[in-house]
Amino acid sequence: MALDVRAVRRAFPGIRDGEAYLDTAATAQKPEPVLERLRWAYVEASGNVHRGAHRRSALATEAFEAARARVARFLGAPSPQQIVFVRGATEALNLLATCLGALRLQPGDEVLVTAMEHHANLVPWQLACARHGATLRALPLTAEGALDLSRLDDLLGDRTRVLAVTHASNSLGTVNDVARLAAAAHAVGALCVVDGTQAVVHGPVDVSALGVDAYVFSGHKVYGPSGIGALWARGELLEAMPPYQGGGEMIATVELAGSTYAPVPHKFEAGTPHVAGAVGLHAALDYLEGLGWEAVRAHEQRVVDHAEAQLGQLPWIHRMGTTRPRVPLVSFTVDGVHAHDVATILDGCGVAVRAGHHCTQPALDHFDVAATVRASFGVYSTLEEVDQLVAGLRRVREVFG
Amino acid sequence: MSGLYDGWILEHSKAPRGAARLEGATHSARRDNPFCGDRITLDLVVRCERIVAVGFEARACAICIATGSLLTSLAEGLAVDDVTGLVESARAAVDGTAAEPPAHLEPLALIRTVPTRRRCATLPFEALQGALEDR
Ligand SMILES: Cc1ncc(COP(=O)(O)O)c(C=O)c1O
Repeated sequence: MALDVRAVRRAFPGIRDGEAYLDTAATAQKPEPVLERLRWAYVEASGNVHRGAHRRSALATEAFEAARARVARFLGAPSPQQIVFVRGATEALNLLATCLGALRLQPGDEVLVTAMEHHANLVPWQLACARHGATLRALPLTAEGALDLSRLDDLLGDRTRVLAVTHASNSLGTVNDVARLAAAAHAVGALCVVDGTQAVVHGPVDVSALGVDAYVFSGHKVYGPSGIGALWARGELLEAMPPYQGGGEMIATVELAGSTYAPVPHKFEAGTPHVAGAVGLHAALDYLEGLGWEAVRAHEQRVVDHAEAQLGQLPWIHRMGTTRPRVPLVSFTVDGVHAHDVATILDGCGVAVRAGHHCTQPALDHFDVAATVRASFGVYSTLEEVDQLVAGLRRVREVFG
Repeated sequence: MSGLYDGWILEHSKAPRGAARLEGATHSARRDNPFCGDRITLDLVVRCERIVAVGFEARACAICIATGSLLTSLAEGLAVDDVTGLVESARAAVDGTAAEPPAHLEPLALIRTVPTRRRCATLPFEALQGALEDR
């Protein structure tokens, strides 16, 4: 069944004809079912979780735990108890770098990242390495914007404790073979942590099949609310890692002399969680999977193919990241015009794109550019919007003559 | 954004004034806009507490380069003591806190129409102040 894009667009009140929203990789628009469930959470399930004996508290607890089970199913995680709710991918990766760092990193150890990581999967590891006297290494990129796997054997060794890699690049679109990378990490006794933020929204993910050790994503990029995200990690890792933050919810017993911690995942969820966010995320995952992955993939591929073909006609456009398979986004520069000026003029033409380094400075350094324009697509994107982008780019060239 | 790219911003960005590093600079500063990766390096020659020459090199957008260009004419001849005043008025002209910017800063008011780009215009002024403070 092909995706009924008109129906999809009607489900998103933030999507309006004439306004091309081509920045879904930065944050996705929200469909009505998500907005409705957010309202429900604040109106009906409006008690605190895991406390209080009253009806609203019970409803909130039930909805929060149901969302956890939904996320587990979304990721192919063996158990809902291996899902930790967090603010987003950034918090999840900080948690992992901090807690895995404390568990595994010793002076002289190494952490391997890649040159295409979002700063969220780079800076936390820099901090962890500095804290534990470990060394950070980075797998370089090829000219097409893929990982240079010919360097893997040099860089991954018996000192490597963690390989932290993105499943899909938010600035280049590259999809990485994380199953292969995880196997390589395991072969030297390292763990493989995966940033799934840009991947989970474009196709099914099964963490068990990938064989990775931890996987994270943000709710707002899968058509869900902001301020909520999820972390999956192997049960034994969650058990072994020390807590991240202290406070309510995460304890078993507290005495002035010391405390014991709640069982996982609650050990990592200090304080009142974002219940409405989790409920909204549950609705977003239902909505997305309800569209059918086959249909979503086919539609997004059609849109990005059209974009690549159209941009390919413009000799003054230079693309960064041309590998396949890719997530549906195009990143490029315009001859003689800075990416930010391009984005401002496009905004005037009703086209929303992202300009900048997309929080991936090392990846852009690799291409020797300071900023690119990025158009990213989602379930509501249309071929007409791509045409509007191309018309806007022609306008940019006119302005800068 | 109407008007943003059809007046002084485009003209100055295409043929910026003072867009080169200065040999014999007495003061320099580099400033980055982490939001967009813009980078400007600004050099000054200061003699007897007065700015006698300004030069800059920018890997930046049209707004940043055009404001840098405008800045060179505003800052040349300025007493070092008056720099803070200039930087503050420029900032106020850009963010709209000065309802009526003084005539020489009038062009900066155009940036108010694009709030996401204000920092692009204030970056050269940050570099100017920085050059005198960094030492
Ligand atoms: C690949 C990738 N990782 C991590 C993040 C950080 O996500 P958040 O800002 O939602 O924590 C992003 C968002 O820009 C991303 O694209």
